[in-house]
Formats: sequence, structure tokens, C-alpha cells
Amino acid sequence: MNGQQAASPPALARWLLRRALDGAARSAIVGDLDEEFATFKVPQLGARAARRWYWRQTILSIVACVRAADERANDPEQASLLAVGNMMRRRDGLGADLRSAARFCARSPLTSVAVILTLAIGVAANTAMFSVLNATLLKKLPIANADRLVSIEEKGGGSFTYPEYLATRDTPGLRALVAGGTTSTLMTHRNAKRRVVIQLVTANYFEALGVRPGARGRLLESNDDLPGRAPVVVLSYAFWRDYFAADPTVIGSTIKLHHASFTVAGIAPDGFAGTQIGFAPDLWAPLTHGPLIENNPAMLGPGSAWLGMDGILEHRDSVGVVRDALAARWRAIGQRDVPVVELIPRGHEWNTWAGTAAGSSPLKLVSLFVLLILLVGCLNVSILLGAQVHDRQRELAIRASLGAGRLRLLRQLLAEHLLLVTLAGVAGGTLGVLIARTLASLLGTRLTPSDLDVSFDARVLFFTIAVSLTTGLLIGALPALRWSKVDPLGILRSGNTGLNRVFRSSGLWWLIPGQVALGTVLLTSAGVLVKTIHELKAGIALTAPERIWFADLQVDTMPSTLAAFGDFQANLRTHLTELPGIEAAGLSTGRPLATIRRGPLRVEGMTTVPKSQPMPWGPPPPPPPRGAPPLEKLWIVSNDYVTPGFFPAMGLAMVNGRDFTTADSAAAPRVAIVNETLAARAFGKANPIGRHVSWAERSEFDITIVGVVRDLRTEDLRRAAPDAIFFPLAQISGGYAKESTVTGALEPIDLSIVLRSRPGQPFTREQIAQQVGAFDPTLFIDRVWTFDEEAGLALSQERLLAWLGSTFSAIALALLIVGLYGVLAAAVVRGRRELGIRLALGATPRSLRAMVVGRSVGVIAVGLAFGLPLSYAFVRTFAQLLYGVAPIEPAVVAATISTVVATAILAAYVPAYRAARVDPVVALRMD
Amino acid sequence: MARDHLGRFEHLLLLAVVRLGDDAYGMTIRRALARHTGREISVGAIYTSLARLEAKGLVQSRLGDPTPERGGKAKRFYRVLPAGKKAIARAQAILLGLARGIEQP
Repeated sequence: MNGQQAASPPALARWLLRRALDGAARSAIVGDLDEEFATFKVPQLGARAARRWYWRQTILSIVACVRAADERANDPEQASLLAVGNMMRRRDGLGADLRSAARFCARSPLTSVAVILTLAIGVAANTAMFSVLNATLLKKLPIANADRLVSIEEKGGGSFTYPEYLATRDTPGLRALVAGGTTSTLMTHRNAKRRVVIQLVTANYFEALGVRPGARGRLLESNDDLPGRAPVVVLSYAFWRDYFAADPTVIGSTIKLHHASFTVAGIAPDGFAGTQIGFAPDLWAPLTHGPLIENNPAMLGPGSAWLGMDGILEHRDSVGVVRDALAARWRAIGQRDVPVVELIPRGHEWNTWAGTAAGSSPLKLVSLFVLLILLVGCLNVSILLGAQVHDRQRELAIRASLGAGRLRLLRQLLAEHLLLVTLAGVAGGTLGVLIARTLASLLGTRLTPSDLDVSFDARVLFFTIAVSLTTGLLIGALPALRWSKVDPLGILRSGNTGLNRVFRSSGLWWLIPGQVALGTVLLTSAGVLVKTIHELKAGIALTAPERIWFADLQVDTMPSTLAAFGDFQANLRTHLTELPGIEAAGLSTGRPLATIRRGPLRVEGMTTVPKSQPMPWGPPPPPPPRGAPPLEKLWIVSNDYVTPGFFPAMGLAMVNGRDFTTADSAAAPRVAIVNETLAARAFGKANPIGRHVSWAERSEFDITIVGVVRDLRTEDLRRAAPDAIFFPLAQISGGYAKESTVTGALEPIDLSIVLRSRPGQPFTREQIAQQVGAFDPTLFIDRVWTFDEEAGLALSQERLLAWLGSTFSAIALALLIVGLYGVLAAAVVRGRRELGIRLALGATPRSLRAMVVGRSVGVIAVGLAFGLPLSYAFVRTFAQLLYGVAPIEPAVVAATISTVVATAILAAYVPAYRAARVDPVVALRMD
Repeated sequence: MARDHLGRFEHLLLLAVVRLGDDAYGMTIRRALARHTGREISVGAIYTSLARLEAKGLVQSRLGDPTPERGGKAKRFYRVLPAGKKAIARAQAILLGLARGIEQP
């Protein structure tokens, strides 16, 4: 039935034969094979075996012909009458070009290595950057409904309350609506504690996103958030694997979050980490059980806006329908803002790094940096190769005079560059993927644990190849075009050129200024970024921050009454001050740069409310008190409960009034300390001491201000200090720890210990932990940090940018030295005759040295003239990332100029020295 | 000299071409060699060796007529030149000389 088809020889084999063999042999061989196949093999062996035979003949024949061609190539005497050849073996083919390229690269290993290294750095930087971009912006979320996922936001960009979610969830056009918010607390499992990041989500979360339950347990189900259901959690696969060592018995067991018990329902599938790229929670819990974790019954009420919402569309094109329906619904429930509905098939952008579309984001800046370093690398390689091709002009001239056309020479030069670029691409691509991994872990912060999947994929591979090839063409085209147009006669006859002609004509002299200009851009950028860090650190303005220690404490078993709690904290503080080498010790409910606690403040006699700072991103804000007016009508200020010793330990001096003392107990009249900013905004120039304020639901103005403390930027190093008020920890009853709580007992409070060590008497983490353990073994120390570490974390993004900028600048400078040196050295060698004449005519070695150095500095000056305005324009594009620095910072500009000029002199030194040592007699006798 | 010396495969090739007479072209040579040696030999090897022999002046080739079963491709017929016949005789003599006096198994 398929005899007709089977009788024909395999098409691919025939194609191979035709490609691999030359004219005469091709037709004879194919003819013989076809004939034998049809007349003997098919009838004797059957179609299948015959085809196998044909394949075998094909391969063996090609091998035989290639071998024969090889022998012939080695023995030119054996001129063949029958031309049997192979395209790979053609003397003028690509293979020959590549072989000659390899020979050429091996002949000047130093240059080759320099070229490959330079390009590899550029390719690596770009591959790494692209891997991160790929992970954040291009990879699809590993969920079934990824292409119909929309983010639902307000135009003003706020969060939603739970009642708003309930009112929105059955919007037409939406198949499902999910909501979630993030929090962090301590998890207790079999007496071991660990801080975990929890995403509180609506119970339909997994089902709506299309996450299929894994083999382990179940995911959240739609009735898990109904009242009366036992609290459950779902662990992320990574957390289960890393923390629980993939122990299957964890499923169904009980863990404690904060102080409430939850049952582990199951493990989420491997690879699923929510809808926000670069952020991976450890576990998910139904948000209706959030109050158990947050110790905050009001978080589900209308006053707590802490949820983000994602929707699943009915159809991919119903975005407009959903937007209109939402707008109508929001108007009905009194919401003013305009809804923004956006398709997010690739997940939410990474909040801190991807930044806003309009603003300049760190990610964009890093992309520009890597592009710059690649450009600098290309210019440098162009210079190196150009200088080398220049040296080879004799060789090229000979080849041209032997009949090689311009195209032939061009192809050979391009092949050489292609080989170098391929090697660089492989090295750079490998390095880049490794760097991406490191980068991904560096980009994570404490609040946004990094979970970027930067693994190598086809897209990254394609990008690397594209970058390498473009680079190859960029660097190859210029010198190749220039030198393929050789004038054999002129070069072979003259053989030498004057110094000035070399300097002017080499065409390399606009490459160096280009390199200088780009290097200047990198240098100034690095300069302003470093200055930004400096300014931000200076803004902290604490004396000896390295001597400040923090320890986060979880109090598991609270004293039963507030009076007992007062004793407890006083005793703990006393115990801590007994630690050797201690200067001051205090406790607080928050920690600068870490915990943000806010609440509404009212000041006696104040009629207008100052504008409050918006709530920053972070854990859900505390709800407003029951029955209080809506948040925006209150003055929201930062607040903390602290003990005596806290301000001395922090190194914050009293500007006015007094510090808290042990006399400010629960029984004593309520007092408060405000910071300078709050004092100025509430009272202007008037004395705040003795004035009365009201906190939270207390309507009487029963709190007396007793002191004003210095400002400290506690939340964001870029922002001025917030309005802040401090209360004595002993008087906490008034606001924080309510005696009637969810569980009916005194709610546990997480405290931070703040210590200041004496100069030269540092203590260790273990000492602090021991001292606390000796006081009460049930107390759990979460973390011990120094203020420096804390500030370092807060500055991690700036430090990474500055580090990248500085590293790339250093590379650019090194490349500049290599390029300048290469060009100058070559020019001096080629200009020996002219130098000799000058010396013979009475020039001093000194003047020759000055001439070479002068040339170098002159070229650099041209580069600077272009580079400085370019830097200004460049730095302005990321001005938002800077702090306390002008785009043209005199100190930075001066440093840049002097660095570049010093580089120029350094690079010119050896060539200049050589120029001055030219022996006029030898130089003139040469050639 | 090396020029006159035949390799084993060249020797067999020449014998096959002589034996086949007027019908000596790629396919028939290949089949004859395969039948007598019991080994599958590639057409490519035959043509490259014949090309070498042609270069040495031992064989001569001419193009025949294209036939339909060959897909319209011409046969390349070979015949052994006198120098080739001498070379065969020489190789034969060497073989016989070496084999003389050795008991055949």
C-alpha cells in the first residue's frame, strides 16, 4: 500500500549528499545509490532495510569524501580529476576563515584575552540584568488563570477594607475576586520559634487563581473563612521544604501564629508563590482569621484598609466592563476614587525595584549601567582590534596583492571578531547567569523576601546570543571596513608613517574620547550615588550608632494584670542594665527603621489638623478606635511606648523638659514626650511642656507633655522625621493593651530591647540572649541587631546601586587605561622615525615625553567636554533615587575630572618614557 | 616508489574493474566488492579511491548515458589502463612471492 512511497530513497539523506558533495562526484554517487536502491535493495531487503542501507551509504560516503579531500589538501601534488569536496573543507569557506581566525587569536594571546574579558564583562552584566528583567517582567505566573488575572486598584493607590471587598466581589465581568494582605509574626512549632511572613487571603484565593492542589493535603477552600471554622493555614512549598525538611507529618499538625493555634491544611504546589513576583510568603491563612494573628479585631471592619485585590476576568477582553461596573458599585458604597483595572498576566511588578512606570526605578538605572559598560567595552575592543589590524596592514596588503578582494579580507576580519565574540559570549553568558542568582538574593529585603526565579531559559539564551552578535558586528564593522580597504602599493612601499599621521589618521582618536565620555557618565553616577548614601547616613545623626543594639523579644506568658506587667518590664530593664559594659538600656514597643506604629492624636486647643503622612507600605496599620471619626479627619502620628533609658540608649537628647522616670508608673498621671517635629507643628514656637493631648479613644485631654526629644528619621531615611509621640511603657493601659481583648486575657506585647554599649566594650549577641534568658527562660529573643546593621538594611538598595556604579566605573577606567595605552604605545612604535628626527634636530627627551602625555591629556579633554554634559543629562534621569545631591555636584565633578586625567597620565607614562628613549640613529637607519 | 605501490583496497578495486569489463561503474563495482569481500563498502570510498587511481594514471573514466532508474544521472564507467594492469601484476607477484612455501590452511 505504501510501496510507492517506500520505493523512494530517504529525502533527507539525498539532500545531505547533495549539500556535502561536489558536482561530478555528487551526480555519480547519488545516481549509483539510487539505482542500487531501486533495482536491488528494495526488492531484496524490503523498503525499510533498504532505506537504512541508503542512510548508511550516505554517511559513509560523506566521511570518505571528506577524508579524501583532507588528504588532497595536505598533498597539493595530488590534483584530482574528480572533484570530491565538502563545503566545510573549501579553502575559501567559513571554516577556513574560522581556522585562520583561531590562528590569529592564538598568535596574540594577550590582546585576545583582553578582548574576550572585556566583552565577557559586558555580556555578563547584560545577561544578568536581563535574567532579572525576565524573571520580573516576562515570565508568566505559574497559575492556570494567569492570562485573565487583573489587578484592581484605586487611582489614588490606596488599600481596601474587608467590607469593600465583600461589596465588590460579585462585580459583573469578574469570575472571581481575591483579596490579600501581608503580615509577619512569630510561628511556634514544637517549641521552636521562627519569624514567618504570612499572606492573609480570602478563602477562594487558590481556587480562583487556578492553583491545583498538590499531592500534599489540601489548599484553602471557600468555606474556610466562614465564622466558626477552625483556623487553618497552607504552607508554601519552599517553606515546607526548607523549614520543615519536607516532613509529611506536618500536614494536620498544629502551629501557633502569634498566640493562636492553626492547623496545617496542606502544602501549596511547588513553584507557586502568590501573584507578586519577587515576594514569596511562607504561608497563607484565611484573612478572617487575621485578627487572631494581628491581635486586632477591628482589622475586618470598615476602618482598616489593608487589602490588595486581584480579579479573574470572565473573558480576556472584559476589562472595560469590569471597570465600569466597579465604578458604579464604588459610587454606590460611597467610595470616591476611580477604579483602575489592569491585566497583569505576568504578576504584579516587583514593588520596590520595578518602581512606578513614570518614575525612575533602580531597575531602569541598572539597565542603563549595564548598557553603558557594554558600550565602553565595545569601544575598547574596537580600539584594541583596530590597533592590531593596523599592525597587520602589511599582511593584509600582501593578501590583497595576491588577489584577495575587499570582501574576502572583510570576511576574514569579521570571522576573527566573530570567534572572539563567541568565546566572550559563552563566558559572559555563564557568568551572567551566576551573577543574576547573586543579584536576586541581594535584591530581597526583610519585608520582601526575594524569590526571583532567575533560572536560565530560552529567552535569556536568545538575548545573550543577540547581544554577543550585535556586539561582534559593532566592534568588528569599524576596523574591518577601514582595513579591508587597503592600498597594498602604498603600504608595501612606504612601510612606515610619521607620528602625527598615526595620531591623526588612525581613526581611533574618536573612539577614545567616546570611551572617556561614557566612562565619565559612569563615574559621575557612581559619585552621586555614593554621596547619596553618605548624606542619608549623615541624616541619621546619632552618636556612635554602632554601639546601639536591638533585640526583638516575644513575651509568651504575659503577667495577668497591668500592674504586674509594670513590675515585669521594670525588672527586665534593671536586669539588663547589669550586663557588663552597658551604658544605657531601655525597652520599647517599636524599633526605629523597623516597626511602624501610628495612631490618631488630638491636641488641646488645636482647631486645624496638620496634614498627616500617608501610611507607608508594610504591615497592616492599626485600625481606628471604634466609633471614632474616619482616619483622614484625625492627625495620624507615629507613636511608641518606651521605658526610661530608651532615649539615652538611642543617644537622643532631650531638647526641652525631662525624660521618663520610674515614677511615671501606671498609677501616676499620664505623661508623654514629643519629638521636635511634632512640637513645632502642634505648638509652633510656643512651649509644649505642660500642654495636654488626647490619645486614641480617650476624649479627655488627660496626657501632659513633659519633654521634647530630638528628631530621628525612624521610618524612611529619605523623609524628614515623622511627627512622633512617646508614652511610658508602664502606662500602656491607656491605648495599646486593652484589658478586655479577643481572648479575654492580657494580650501579649512584642517588645524591643534597646542597649548602648560603652565605647571599647562591645558585647555579643549571645551575652544579650543569656542575660534575657537568665531573667526569664520563657522569653524568646527573635533577633539581635545593631543599629548599623539596621541602617545598612534600610540602605541596601542605595548601596547596591552605588556598588554597581563604582564597580562599573572601575572597569571603565581600567578599560580606558588599556585602550589609551594600546593606542599610544602603537603610535610611538610606528612613529619612531619622526621621534628620531625630532631628537636629532635637538628635541629633548623631556619634551618628547611631554608631547606624548600632552596628546593623551588632550584626547581625554575632548572626551570630558562631551562626557560632562552627557553625565548631567544622565544623572537627571534618576534624580529621584538621589538624596541631598545636585545632578552637577561640584565635588563629584572635580573628582571625576581628576580621576580621568590621572588615568590619562598613567596610561601615557610608559609610552612617553619609551618615546623619549628612542635612539635617533637606530630609528633613522630603520626601514 | 610509493606511486607504483597499490594499497589493498586499490588492488581489489582494480581487480573488480578488470573483471567487470565494459560494465564497470560505481554500483557494479560496489556490488562486486561487497559480494567478494562480504563487507558493505561505501560508494564514496570507491569514488575517492578511483579518483586517486585516476590521478596516478592507472584507470580512466568516461561518462555514460543517464538512465531513468538513476534519476537521470549519468553513469561513470571505468576501465583499467595498461599502467593499471602492470600495477595489478606487480601486486599479484608480490603477494604470490610472499605466499610461496606457506602451507595453505
